[in-house]
Amino acid sequence: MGERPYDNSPTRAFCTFRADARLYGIDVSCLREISTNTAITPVPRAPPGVRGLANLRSRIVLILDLRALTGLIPAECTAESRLIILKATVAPDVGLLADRGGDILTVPEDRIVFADAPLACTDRPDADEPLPLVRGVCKLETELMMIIDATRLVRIVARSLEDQARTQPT
Amino acid sequence: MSQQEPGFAHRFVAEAREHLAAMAAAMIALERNEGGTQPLVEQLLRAAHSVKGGAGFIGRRNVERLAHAFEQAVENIRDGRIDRRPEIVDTLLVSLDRITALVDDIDHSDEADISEPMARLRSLVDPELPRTTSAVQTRDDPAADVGAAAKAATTPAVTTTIVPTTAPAQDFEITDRLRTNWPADATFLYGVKLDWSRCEGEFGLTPLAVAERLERAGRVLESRTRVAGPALADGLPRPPFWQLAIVSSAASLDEFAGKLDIPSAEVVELAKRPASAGGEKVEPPVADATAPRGVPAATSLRVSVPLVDRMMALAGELVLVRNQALRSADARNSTLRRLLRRLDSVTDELQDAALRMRTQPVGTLFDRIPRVVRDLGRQLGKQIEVRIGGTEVELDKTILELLSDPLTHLIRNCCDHGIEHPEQRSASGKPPVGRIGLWARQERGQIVIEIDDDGRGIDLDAVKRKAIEQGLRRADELERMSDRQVFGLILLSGFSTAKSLTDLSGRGVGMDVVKTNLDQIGGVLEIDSVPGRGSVFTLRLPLTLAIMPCLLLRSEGQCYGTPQRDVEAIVLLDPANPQRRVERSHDGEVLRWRGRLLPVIRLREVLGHRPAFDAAALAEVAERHHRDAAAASSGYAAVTRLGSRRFAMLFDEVAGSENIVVKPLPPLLRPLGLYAATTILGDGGVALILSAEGVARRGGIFDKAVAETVEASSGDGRNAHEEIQAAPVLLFRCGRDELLAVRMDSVRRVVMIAPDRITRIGERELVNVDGIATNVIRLDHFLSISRCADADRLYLLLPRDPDTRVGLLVSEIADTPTLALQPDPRGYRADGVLGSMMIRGQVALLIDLERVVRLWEGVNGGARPPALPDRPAGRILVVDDTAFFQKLVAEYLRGAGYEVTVAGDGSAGLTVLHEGPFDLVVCDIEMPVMDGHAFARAVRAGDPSIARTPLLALTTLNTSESRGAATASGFDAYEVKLDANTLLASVARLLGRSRVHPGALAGAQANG
Repeated sequence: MGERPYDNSPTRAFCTFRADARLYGIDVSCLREISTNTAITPVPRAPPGVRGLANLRSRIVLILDLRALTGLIPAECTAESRLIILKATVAPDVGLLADRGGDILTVPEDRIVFADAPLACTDRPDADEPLPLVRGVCKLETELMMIIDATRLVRIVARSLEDQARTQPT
Repeated sequence: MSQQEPGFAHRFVAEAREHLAAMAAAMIALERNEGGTQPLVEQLLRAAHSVKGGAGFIGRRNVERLAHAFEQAVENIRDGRIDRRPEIVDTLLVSLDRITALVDDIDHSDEADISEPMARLRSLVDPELPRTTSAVQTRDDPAADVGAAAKAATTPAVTTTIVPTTAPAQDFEITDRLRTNWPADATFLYGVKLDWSRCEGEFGLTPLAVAERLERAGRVLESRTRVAGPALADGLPRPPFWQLAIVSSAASLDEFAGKLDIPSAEVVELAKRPASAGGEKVEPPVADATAPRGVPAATSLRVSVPLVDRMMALAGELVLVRNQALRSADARNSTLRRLLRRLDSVTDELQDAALRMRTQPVGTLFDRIPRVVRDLGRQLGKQIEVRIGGTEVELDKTILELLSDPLTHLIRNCCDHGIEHPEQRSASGKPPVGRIGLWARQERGQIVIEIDDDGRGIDLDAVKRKAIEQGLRRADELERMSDRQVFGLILLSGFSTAKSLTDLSGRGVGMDVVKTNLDQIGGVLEIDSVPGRGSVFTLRLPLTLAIMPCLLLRSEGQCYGTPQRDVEAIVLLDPANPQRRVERSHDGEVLRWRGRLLPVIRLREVLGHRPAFDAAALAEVAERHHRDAAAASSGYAAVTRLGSRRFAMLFDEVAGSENIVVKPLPPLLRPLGLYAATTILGDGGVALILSAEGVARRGGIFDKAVAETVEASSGDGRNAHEEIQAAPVLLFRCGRDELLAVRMDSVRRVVMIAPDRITRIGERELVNVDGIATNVIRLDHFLSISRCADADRLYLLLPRDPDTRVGLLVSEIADTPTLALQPDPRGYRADGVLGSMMIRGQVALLIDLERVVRLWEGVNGGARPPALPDRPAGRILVVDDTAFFQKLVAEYLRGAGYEVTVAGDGSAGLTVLHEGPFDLVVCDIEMPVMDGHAFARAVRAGDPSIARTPLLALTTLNTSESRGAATASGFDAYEVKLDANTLLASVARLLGRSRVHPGALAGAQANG
């Protein structure tokens, strides 16, 4: 990734990762750590966006599935899979499962196009209901990076869980 | 002095609350003149002083002023200037409440108007001021001792007061240096004069012992020896050898002398620091608040709960690291393995210690109760005495906090509805003063709290009538219920809406709230009552919420936990057995269990992605599963209790039973409602803890149609259910071939021995274990199994009974899993073998270690004095519906020399008993046709020839069915199955004594 910051322009740093070929970024200020431990216990009856629970040094972390959230079909974890653990200030003990991890990229702010409304984004036109998680797009030399709004992401998942509960009998 | 220090304020509030609670308790005791005035007054003064000092330190004037006024009032009581009549105690209690309220809202405490409570307290302190209460200043206090009277002379103007006494105070000189060294928390300076030679000669106290006692009594500020007699040149000095010491202490003269405990020593009070006089501050509050007061403060520490939780988590982490290390370690490296085992036990201890950091004595809660009872008694015009025991029992702080409301409610209930008015009591021949007892004890990993009263009791028939009226139970259902179960109906929410329950005096009102509160902390409440004699409320609580015994089960390969307290039994399903297979009902599936039809919930369906479980869906599930009868009844069913309902939860496999460290469920998952918590398993994976309520709700069993029903024709067969117990077992090998197992709880210890250390003496083999010559038992001498393999090191399993002095020789310890124990007794028949079972695809023999030891003793004449001749032989009837237990218990008893007859249920037992005579009946509780309770009642009410036979209840149920129920039915003792030693001890005890009063509530009423 040969992105060099431009002089005199304010920059932003993103942690990057991929779902399929698509490159995503999340502001490094939202990031707590990246984990390679992908032993995840599924949570039956949770919506597809919830991958399950992982044990991160004795903390139970709720793992969301980036593929499911972006309209892709969930896939098995591989050696390349990564857990992107969010900072507690964004959402305590929540992480994101990505197919592969990437570098930390520093990009000039003027390369980023922030959307007026959050975008749903997927490579697959046939995918069902991708969720509007993307706050903006950053043009890199060879590809585009989707910037994920972590706070919104957690809110969306929380809402879908509540919806799920509401449709259940009481 | 920092005004706005939140950390200090927080700590002050926590500490002040404890002091205030203790003060309220002390006031009550003082009013009753319990345990001597002096210590109570001193305790009150110290606590009030601490509150005052702390409040001053964080700059809360109102609290400080009130506490000060309170302190002065108590000093007046101590000095006998005011008495302890109820009105005055009222005033003091009200002002305590006021201080407590201020402390609870410490940030706004200085904005409150405290002129009224101040005026009240002042009226107690200064008789010249107008009084709001009728305090009379007579000195009728006999407890005001001489020392106190002397202290009454305290004049506020001077900082120290020299009090002349009979002892030679002139022997001591109070220097300026002494005053500087006088600790702020020590009120008194005492002079101690003693004669070394007399102490040693007459009382055997060595100089060292004397010095120790001086140090113990207080702080020795100065010490001189004065030898009477001429110069050394005239020879050795002669007695007396005088020792003159000046000691500072917070204790009063009497207390000090008591602590000192040196006979013949003369003690004189040299000086006293005025508590706080005329607005002049003698001690700076800063020093007061920072210096720990009294002994307890020095040995305890306040730690934040999150920190303790973190420590728990780290201890769990350590277990995982150990497991990983174990996996990667070289299996042949025994040094490493030993280290890892050590690591394991240290980790356990660490976890245990962290847990205990969360606990507090129940006394902190019980201390408030006398106050509640006192106030209520005065309000209601009843005389009630509270007796409290077991205050030192420790309980998780969280549970303690949540327990406060239900406990208070139960106590109020006793005062209000249980205890009668004095005239009523006298009329019914009881003492006019009613009694309420509050007792705590630890019992088999649970905390039991009993609240008993000797009041009017609960009318069973009235409860039954009400239950029918309210449509809670049908008459025929009530017929089948035990008394305790009927009393339990009071706790149902429907019951409490009862309005016209005059004969019950509204006993049910609000009891459902108690139940809800208890459910939250995993507590169980049982009620026993004898009309006219009183009631007993028994609370069973977990020791902690941080660790919970859980059944681990598998559904579709994934492991889940379910709290053990919710699971009443595990049934191994069997399509060939009508009592253990799932059957279709008109609108779903049911399982027969103890004469009931339980609605069935299939875990995999509930956890699967499917829409709501309406009637159609339930029918569809039933249809799909019952195309193949074998498939419909595969796996296990957990009979799960949910309040008063039960359902059968079907799952694939039992994965074990473990004390798990509970971790909270991520908040995002809470809306799902299916899960209660999470935990981390031994392999580091996460498991979800199911919420029984969530599963039931999701499974649709709250729909009335599929609720638990009592089967119309129950008792159609014996051995209707063979329950499985999950228990830790020790897997081992002797020879190379067989895999063997023993229940872990039958083993005291496993020790490693070198084979060459085994010494042969005649027929016996002995080895030295911790300096005790221990007989070696070779299992191949008793069972046809292969010879113990030769190895560099062997192991000895020491049975639980430490008197046996024997050990089972074992060549390899394979594993220590927790397994569902259901040995098949037909698989391998031999004495000393409980049966065979499949463990991880391999056949293992479950060895009955106690039996093997007895077999060995039979051959070798015993390693201990032969017990048989000592034992009173007797004829025993064993009533149990499970063939397995029948055989086991009968064998134990026969092995101990008794003559045993067996019967399969209560009614058969009754028939056999009539054919008697029998010296004792050992009886199961849960049985078809006629259960143990009904049996016991029938025996007690029956023919005089059998009515006095001792009855021993023997059951697997220990938690849900209390001993109280058995006692109420007429049992004399209660033992838990598979504990042969305590059973034999209990049998011997019962046979060795004459019958006590048969029947009701013997134990509980004896306490109450």
